[in-house]
Amino acid sequence: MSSTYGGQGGDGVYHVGPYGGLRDWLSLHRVVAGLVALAAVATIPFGGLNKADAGRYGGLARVEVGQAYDAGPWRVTVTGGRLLKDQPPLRAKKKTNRWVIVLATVEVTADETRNDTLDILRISGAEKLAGDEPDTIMLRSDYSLLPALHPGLPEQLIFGWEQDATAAVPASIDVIIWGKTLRMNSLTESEEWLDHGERAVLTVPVQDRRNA
Amino acid sequence: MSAPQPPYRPAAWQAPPPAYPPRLGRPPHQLHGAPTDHTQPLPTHAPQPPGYGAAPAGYPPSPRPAERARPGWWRRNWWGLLLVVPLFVATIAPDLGDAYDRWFPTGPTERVSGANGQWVSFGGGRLRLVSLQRAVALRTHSGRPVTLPATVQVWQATLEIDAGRDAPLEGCTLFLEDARGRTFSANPNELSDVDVDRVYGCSRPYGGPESGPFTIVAAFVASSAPSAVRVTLASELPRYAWLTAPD
Amino acid sequence: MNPGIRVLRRVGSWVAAAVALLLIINLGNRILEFQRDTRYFQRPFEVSVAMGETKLTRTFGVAVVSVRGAGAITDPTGGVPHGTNGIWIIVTLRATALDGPREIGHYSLRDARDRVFWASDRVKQGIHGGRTLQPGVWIEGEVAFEVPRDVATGKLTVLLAEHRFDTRVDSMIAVELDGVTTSAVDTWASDRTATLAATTVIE
Repeated sequence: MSSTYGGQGGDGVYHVGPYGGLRDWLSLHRVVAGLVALAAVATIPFGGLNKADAGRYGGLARVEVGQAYDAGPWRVTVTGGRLLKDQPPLRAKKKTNRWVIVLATVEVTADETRNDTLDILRISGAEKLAGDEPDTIMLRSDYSLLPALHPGLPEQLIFGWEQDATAAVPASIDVIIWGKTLRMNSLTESEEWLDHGERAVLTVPVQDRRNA
Repeated sequence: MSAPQPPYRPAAWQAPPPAYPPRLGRPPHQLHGAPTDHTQPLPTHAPQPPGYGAAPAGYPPSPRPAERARPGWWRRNWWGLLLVVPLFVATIAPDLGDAYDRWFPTGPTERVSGANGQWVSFGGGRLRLVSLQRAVALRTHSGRPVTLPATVQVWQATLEIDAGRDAPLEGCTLFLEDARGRTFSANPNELSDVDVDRVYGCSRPYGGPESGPFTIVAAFVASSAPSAVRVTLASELPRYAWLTAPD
Repeated sequence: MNPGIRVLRRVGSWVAAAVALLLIINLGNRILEFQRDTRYFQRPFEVSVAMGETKLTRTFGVAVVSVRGAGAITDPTGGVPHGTNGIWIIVTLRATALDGPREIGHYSLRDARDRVFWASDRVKQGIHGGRTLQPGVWIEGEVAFEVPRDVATGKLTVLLAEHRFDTRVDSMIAVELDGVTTSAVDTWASDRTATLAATTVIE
């Protein structure tokens, strides 16, 4: 090892301080490489060396069309997907919009009536939607809008998202079932349905019935 | 070991303690060392230095603590007890203002009223009760006669209001008040199908004068005879206007 | 006494006091951990009333007069019949306010399994949802609930309170319904022509 900082100087005397050897060895390249290696090692406890997820929803449960999934306060069975033109009882906010529809049966398994039906489903894979939340939710039986759902009474629901007419026609969409967890709210110290988030995903074929 | 020994007892348990020699002012073992009592035989071991506290062997045992002249519990803790008072005040004082704001001004408790039928200044304007009359022979919007139980009376209050376009008074709420202080709200559901005037707070009616004082007619149902019209405004609470009809 | 022992005793008493304090705090925390949740502690004060009996709360008076059921119901104002996957339970009640204009905001049914069903939002309700009660003016009207048929196997209770959601430590009228039996439900389910009665002023 030779450097201008350590080793034998021009005066013939060794100048090796307590860190002389280390200082010798350090260089910008080595420091950077060392920090990168350290950062890589630090990610290991957080899954740094795990196999990469298979796509965006790799961490979620996979379910099939027609298969019930328990997502906390509700049990959801997605039964199909449709593409519809704007027609009663649907009423698009923008006249030219069409509707991406998800049909699902939802049963409230919590012990009290729920009116957070907007929190149940999201979709992905359809372009140019008006928003993330469904633009309408109706009962299939009498088109009651945004109905509250009662425990133990499964209901067939229509979830509708407005889609711009210029968007590509989706052949299938990913439907993500969101759930909640009943746990103690540390602020109010009472049991509440919290942690609203994605729980399961399924790919639903979309039947184009715009001309039906 | 031969004769059975009496069970061991700490010296402090033995009662009563033997009397001290009369010339000793206090038990020799107490605070700040023991003065040597030369009337007693010398202890077998070397005398301990003063300030060490323990009575040399051969001294009478300690008296029981209860027999010492100790101040009472209240005397010993008076400063602590005294401290409780300011601590208690300090505990609740920061919230007193908040508690007052939360509970006191939220209800109508301060009546603002004038002579019967006279103007009362309130909410950036003034208003008065022109008349308070029982309505009879009412009809529905479709012209059918209204049938209400005999115990239910319909009253109509005519108010004159003098307030600027943007005066807070516009957002008032009108109540009919009976002699017992019970209140009845304007535009009741009971009259939803009945052909009577409806009021929208104290706002200027459509088709009324564009400026200057205006008149509104509020309809109420009541189960007893009314005594006044109560006018509340959220921003004026706890003050409220209390209007009585002219004599 | 040996001064060392005296210091020890003094320190010991402080330590004992500190330990006692910590124990008390710890005990309090344990009690808090074992408590049931705040919702339980702040639950409404339930006043049990029999059907037909009039009960006054702090702010309103109410009596449950009768109960019926149907497989489908129509609004008082007409429209399409609303079917159900369960059974419609229709409760007739009388109500008035006490001191000033009030609403009964909370109408729900509780079954034997402690499931709570809010009054239905699928039909236009007359007495539930925005009806203001005037003091001393009694009205009579119907409230419709949509419930699974299996509620008939246990007791079914109507719950009434002033505020729809915030019922904490408020008074709540609880009226156990008579006559909601499995056979009654079977009979009701076949009735698909029921109409909700309009709300009337009775006194």
